[in-house]
Amino acid sequence: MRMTWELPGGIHPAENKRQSLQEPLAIAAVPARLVFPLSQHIGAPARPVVAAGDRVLKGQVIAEAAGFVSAPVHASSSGTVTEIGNHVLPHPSGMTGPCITIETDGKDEWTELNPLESGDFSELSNDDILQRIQAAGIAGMGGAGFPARVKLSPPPNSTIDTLIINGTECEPYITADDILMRNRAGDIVKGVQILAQLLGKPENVLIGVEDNKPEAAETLRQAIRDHGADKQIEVVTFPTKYPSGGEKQLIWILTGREVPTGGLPANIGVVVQNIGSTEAIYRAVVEGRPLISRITTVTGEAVQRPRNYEVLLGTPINELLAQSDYVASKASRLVIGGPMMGYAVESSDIPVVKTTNCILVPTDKELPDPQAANPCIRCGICATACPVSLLPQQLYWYAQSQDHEKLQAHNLMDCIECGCCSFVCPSNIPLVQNYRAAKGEIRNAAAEKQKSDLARQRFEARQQRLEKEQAEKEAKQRARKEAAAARKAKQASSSDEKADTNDPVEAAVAKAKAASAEQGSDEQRNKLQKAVDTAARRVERAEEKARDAEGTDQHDKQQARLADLKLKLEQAQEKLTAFDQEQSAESAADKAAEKKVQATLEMAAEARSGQSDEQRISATIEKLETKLQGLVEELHAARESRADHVEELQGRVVTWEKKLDDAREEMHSLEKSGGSNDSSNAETDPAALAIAKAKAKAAAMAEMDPKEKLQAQVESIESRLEKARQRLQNAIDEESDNVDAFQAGVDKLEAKLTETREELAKLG
Amino acid sequence: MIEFLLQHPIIAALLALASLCLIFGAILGFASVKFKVEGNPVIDQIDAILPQTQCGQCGHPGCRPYATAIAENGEEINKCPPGGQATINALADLLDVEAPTLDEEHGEESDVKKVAFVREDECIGCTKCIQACPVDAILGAAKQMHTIVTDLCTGCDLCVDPCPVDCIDMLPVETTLQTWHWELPPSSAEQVGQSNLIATDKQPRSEQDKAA
Repeated sequence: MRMTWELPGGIHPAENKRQSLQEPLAIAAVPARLVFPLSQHIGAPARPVVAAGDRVLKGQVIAEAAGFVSAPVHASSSGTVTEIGNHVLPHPSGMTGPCITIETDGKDEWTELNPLESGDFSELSNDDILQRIQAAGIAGMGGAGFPARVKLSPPPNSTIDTLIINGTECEPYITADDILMRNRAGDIVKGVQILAQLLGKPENVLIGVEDNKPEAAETLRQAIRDHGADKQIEVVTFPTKYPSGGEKQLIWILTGREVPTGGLPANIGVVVQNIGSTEAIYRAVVEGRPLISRITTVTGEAVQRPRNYEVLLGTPINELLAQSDYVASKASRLVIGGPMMGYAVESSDIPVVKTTNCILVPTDKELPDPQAANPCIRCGICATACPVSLLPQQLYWYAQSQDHEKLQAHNLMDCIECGCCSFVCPSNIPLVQNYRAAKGEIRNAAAEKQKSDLARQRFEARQQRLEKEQAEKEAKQRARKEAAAARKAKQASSSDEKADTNDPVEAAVAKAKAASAEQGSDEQRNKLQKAVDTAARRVERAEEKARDAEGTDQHDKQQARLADLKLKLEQAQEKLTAFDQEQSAESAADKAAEKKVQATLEMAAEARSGQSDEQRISATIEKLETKLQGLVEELHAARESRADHVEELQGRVVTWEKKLDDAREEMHSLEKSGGSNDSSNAETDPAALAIAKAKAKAAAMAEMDPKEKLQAQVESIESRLEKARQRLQNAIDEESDNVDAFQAGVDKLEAKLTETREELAKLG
Repeated sequence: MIEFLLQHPIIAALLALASLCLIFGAILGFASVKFKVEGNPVIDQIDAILPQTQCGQCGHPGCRPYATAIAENGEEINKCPPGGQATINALADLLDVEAPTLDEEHGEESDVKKVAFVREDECIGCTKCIQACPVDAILGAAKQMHTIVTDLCTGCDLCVDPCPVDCIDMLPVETTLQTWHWELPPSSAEQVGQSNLIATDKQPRSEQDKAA
């Protein structure tokens, strides 16, 4: 007799197992419709490999595993796939999920299986066994549905010395494993032998059975003797107590070892498999049969024939209930699983899946609704009942105040949600329900935290990228400017080696002077003229540079340079005028040049005096106005005299008017934004602009009723449409490539406008 | 020397104290140089609490700038609508101040998380939303249809406004089987009423109860 350890805590609820054991195991009828959820296991949902309209055979793969932690799904009877779509799942949320629906044809026609010819699995390699287990779609049939292959592939650095087969079935009402052990003990023993071979013949191979199932334990012992495996496999019985069937609890009871927090049984050299999974593994490996049926208990006082069924996966629960003479009016609710850890579902139109071990339909008297909770009286019974030795009271306070940090410090994540605490609570406090909610919240918060960390990373990376781009742009600009200055200096020095200054204007003037001595007066004049022109151009460029450099420490230097250049320009100018006077041959070209220089000088003067934007623009407006007036007068005069250049003048008037408008608009916008420097910053930063806009919009929207909102929407769309049209027109005028895009934009906005107007009309 | 000290115990004590001061001062000085913390660790702590939507509803261009403003300029901690009251409470906890309520001026706390969604057949490929996205969650190129990587979207709303054809919607994130969890049951105090510790304390709630 092997020594067993006693589980801390635990409870002894009414077993209620007798009812469903009155009748032998029955084979449930093939239903007209089968529904296969793609996610019957923990891990990635399976990927469908059939389409609606396909005919499938019994045992055919209809969805393949999508990843390592995943399992395929097989058709459990022959028929036609009618739909791949969402269907209510057997899940406490009552949510829908992707399912494959098959209309059965009643022929129950098998696909070709791949059984072991000799029936001797000992010649198979471990990889072959694992491959066969995975291909059969076996996932833990006791509770969570962890894919068997993953569980049977322990981490390479761990040595497994104990294999435990879990035939505990501690939860009240459920007898599915009990009946399986009684009926198929031989298959189970062979399954255990396969697992033992797979795990390298561990020292201890134990089948754990509670002492409330003596018949099952005896049948197993007999089967083991029949197979001559009594040296290898041991059936261990131990006192009945809920929840001995939990994986970690059973390991403790049979070996006295404790699975560390957050660890796996493999970490302490143990692998646990459910008894149902073990039988399915035997069938998969030797018979090549996929997991398409399981044993499910249908019980509770609302069914007249409580019993166990071997049922095809995908069978709707209402079909099973009907076979057990279900009286819907008597049932208080429909529970999937047992009374302790099961969950109530709304609809009975949900399928049996790989993990469905029990369907419980109790009456009101049998499982009354929970009474209203009273305040905690700090009796501490929950702490003595907890099989994981947690502090349920503390956890309860922290769960109520949503103190996730404290909950984790008190090892909430080790809670197995067995419900012992709620069961014993004299105040009827729904303790385990609190822990379930808190665990969900903690998991979601962790996911959220991960997401926000990712967002932070991406935001910072983007920020860095933008800064880098900006710096690169500036560096490029600087390099271009320097290169241009160097070129100029080179030109100047190469054209006149005698000129000891770098100043290009002086050099040019000097060159002109030198040339004037030799060349004819006409040529000389042209040269001088050219010098003046280049000087003017340089002044212009320098001005630009000075403007760019505004605000930087280069500014003063540039200003000084500008002033210098201007002086040079004036000198060149004077020389030219002097020369002209000398030549006393004034021409129209001279005047134009003079004017140009004058204008440039004026502008430069403005820039130098450091006027604010506002002053500058108003000055521009004034100037433009006078200019325009002059032009208009000229135009009138030209018209009266019917000169040829009326049209030309007309065109010029239009352009100047446009310029004036632009300047006025700029002035306007400047006034609006208060003319502060921040405004220009905000305008250049699209994000800041969007923020400001969104804020204003949100504030305005909050105060409007729906009609006003729609009205505002119509207005905004109208204005946007107008803008879009303008852009389109511009694009057409410029024959730009974007015409199509703009056209699409306008069309869409038009459609939207009509739509919104209609909506508005409906409301009004 | 030793004799002198032995004869003048007060001076000896003073000397001992002074030398202790010097030694410890030197240790402290060394430690302050050797273990100097770069940057302001409080900013990192605040930043870790903020929801990282980078939405700018607080008036700062991102979560980190807001964290910096809180740590260095004493900015209010109630300007983050996406984080809501939970974030405010966590910040108040960290900074050891009274938790204020959310400043409505900066927007309201929404009950559901939202993500942006581009109605793809309406998108004209202008790239404006890509430039506005603070976390680079929008994929696309000029004149190519854009799409939003839902897993990366923080729901900040900044892409909606720049869109010239209004083809971006903010859709609530639906609960999936992975994110679903049980609701927290009401506390026992809520269930029975705070004052009804003893059954006889219970007041009839309505006329019906009285009749019963």
